[in-house]
Amino acid sequence: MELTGTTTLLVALKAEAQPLIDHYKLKSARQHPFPIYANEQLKIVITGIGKCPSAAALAHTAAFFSVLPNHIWINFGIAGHKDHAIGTAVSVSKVISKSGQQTWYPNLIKLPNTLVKPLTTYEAVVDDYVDDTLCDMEAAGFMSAGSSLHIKSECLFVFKVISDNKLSDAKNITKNLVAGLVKMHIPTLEALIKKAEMKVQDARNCKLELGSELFEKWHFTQTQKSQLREGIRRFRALDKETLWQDMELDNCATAKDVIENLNRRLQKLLPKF
Amino acid sequence: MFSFIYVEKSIKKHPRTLKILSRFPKSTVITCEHYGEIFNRHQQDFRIQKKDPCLILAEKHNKRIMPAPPEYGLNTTHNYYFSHMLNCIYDCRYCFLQGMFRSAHNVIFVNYEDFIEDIRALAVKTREPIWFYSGYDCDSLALDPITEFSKSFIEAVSLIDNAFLELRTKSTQVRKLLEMKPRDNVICAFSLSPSAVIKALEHQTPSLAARLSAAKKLQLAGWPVALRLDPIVFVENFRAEYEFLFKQITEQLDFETLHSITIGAFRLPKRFFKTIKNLYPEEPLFSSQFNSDNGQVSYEKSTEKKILDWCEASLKNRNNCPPVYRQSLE
Repeated sequence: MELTGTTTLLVALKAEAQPLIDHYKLKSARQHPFPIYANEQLKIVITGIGKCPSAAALAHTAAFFSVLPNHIWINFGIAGHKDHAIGTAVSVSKVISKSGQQTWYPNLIKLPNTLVKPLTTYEAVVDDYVDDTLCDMEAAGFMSAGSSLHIKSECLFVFKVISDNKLSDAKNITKNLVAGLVKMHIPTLEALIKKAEMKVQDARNCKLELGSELFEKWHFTQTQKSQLREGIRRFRALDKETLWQDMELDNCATAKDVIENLNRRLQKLLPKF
Repeated sequence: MFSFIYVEKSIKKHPRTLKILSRFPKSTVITCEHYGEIFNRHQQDFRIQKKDPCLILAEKHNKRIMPAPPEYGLNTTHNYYFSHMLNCIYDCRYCFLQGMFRSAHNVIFVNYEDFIEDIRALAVKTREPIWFYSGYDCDSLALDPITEFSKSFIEAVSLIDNAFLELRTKSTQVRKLLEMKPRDNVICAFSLSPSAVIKALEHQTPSLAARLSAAKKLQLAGWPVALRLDPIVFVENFRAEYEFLFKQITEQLDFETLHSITIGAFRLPKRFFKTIKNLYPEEPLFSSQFNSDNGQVSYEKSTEKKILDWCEASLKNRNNCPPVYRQSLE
C-alpha cells in the first residue's frame, strides 16, 4: 500500500488504536518496526510506551513515508490527572518533559466538550498526581521529535482522554476501559482532524511544483529550472485567464528560449485587481 | 475573537492583563514563561496561523523605544518608533510583518508605563521636537477598545512639551480619541489605498469610505489628521485608481488642514519579500516586475520615480495641498 495520507495518529497501545482501526476500516500496512494501519487519508502508528519509542515512531514515519506538506501529526491516547473525571477529553496546551525540563506548545483547536490543559511526560507510571497537569509517558517524545524534524508547530497536536485519577489510579486501567474511552471520543477526534485539515488546506495547495513537464522536452540546468518555475509562478499569478501551458513554445529551440519567451510575456503583465 | 490567549506568568495579575482578559470571557487562557516560547519558536507557518491567530499578553523588558528608520520621518531630526503590540488583526498582503515575524499571533505588551517612562527619558534629552511613531509593528488603533492604548499614551505624551506622537492606523476605532480633548502634538495618520487595492490586498480592513469617515470625525473634533499613502501599488489603471482616491480624499476631508501626506511606493527588504512570496506564491503583487538591490525589493527605479512624481504632482495640483513627503529608500 502506498502510504501517503494527510494525517497520522501516533498512539502508544494497540488497545488505543483498535477502536480507531475498526472505525476507519484501516488496513495493516506495516508491522515492523512499528505497526502501521492506514487508509488513503489516515495512518495510525502504534509506537509502544515511552518517550523514546514515541519519538522514534514519529521520526520513522516522517522519514520513510511520503507525506504532503503540512501533514497533520496527532499524539492521541490516555493520560492521568489528579482530579478530572475518567473519560474527560483534553487538548494539550503545553508539554513538559519531567526529565529534561523542556517545554513545547502543541497547536490547539477549539473542540466541543474538551478541556485545555498542560501535560507532563514522565519516565514511568505515576500515581501521586502532584500538580495540575495531565501525566503520560509519550507526548514529550512526540513533540521533541516533531520539533527536531522541523515539523511545523501548526501541524503538531496532542489530544488525550483521562484514564486515571486519584480515585482510580493507573492500576485499574484495562483494555476494555481504554477501548471504551477511545470509542467515546472518536467524534471529537474526527472534529480535530477535520478542523486541522481545513486550516492547512490552502497553504498546502499553494505549494505546487510547476513546469516539470517541460524538463523532458528541453534540457534545463538547475538554475534554468528555478528560473522557469519562478516565471511560471508569476505568470499564473498575473494572468489567471490563460493557462501557462497554452504559451506557444514550439518555436523554442532551447531551454533559454523558453525562459526568454516567458519573460517577454511577463514584462507586459501588471497586477489586475 | 481569540480562542486561545497565552499570558506570561509574571504579568498574570497585572491590572491591564486582567482588564484585557475580561473582554474575552470565552477564550482559554494558557500560562507561559515568556512570549518568545510561542512567538519566536522555529517552524511556524504565518499563513496558517493568520487564519486563527492567538493573543499573547506579555511584558516588554527592553528595546521599547527604537530609532526610526531614516526614511520614516517627516524631515524631522529626532524620530523614534515603538510598538505596544506585535502583529495586527488585519491581513494586508504587502505587510512586511509577514516576513519579519515567524508568528502571526498578536502580542500585546501590557507594561505601557515602562514605554511612557522611556519616551519621557528620551524627550528630556533634547529641546527640539522629538517624534514617536506608533503603528510600525502593529496597527495603532485596531484593538484600541480592548487595549486602551490611545488613552494611556496620549494623556502621557501630551504632557511632554517637545514630544509628538503619530498613531498610524487603518482602523475606524476612534471613539476613545473622540472622548478626549484634541491634542496638537498627537497626529492620527490614516493609511489609505484605492478601494480596488483595499479589496485585493488589505484583507479584513475597514473600507476606504469607513476610514475616510473616521478621519473626518477626528478632523471635526479638532484632532490633527495625516494621510499615509504607502505602499502605493502599481496596478493596471494605476492613474485612474489613484486619481479617484485623491478625489475622494479632497471631497470628504478638509484637505487644507491635513497635517501631512506621505507617499511611498511598494518596497520590502529582500529577505522579507522572499519569505512572503513563499507564503503566498499565487499573489499577483509578488509577481510584478521588481528590482532587487541593496537588500531591498522595489519597483525599477524609473518606475518608482514615475509613480511618486505623478502622485506628488497630482496631489499638489489640488488647491491648498498640505505638505507631501516622500518615503523612499534614497
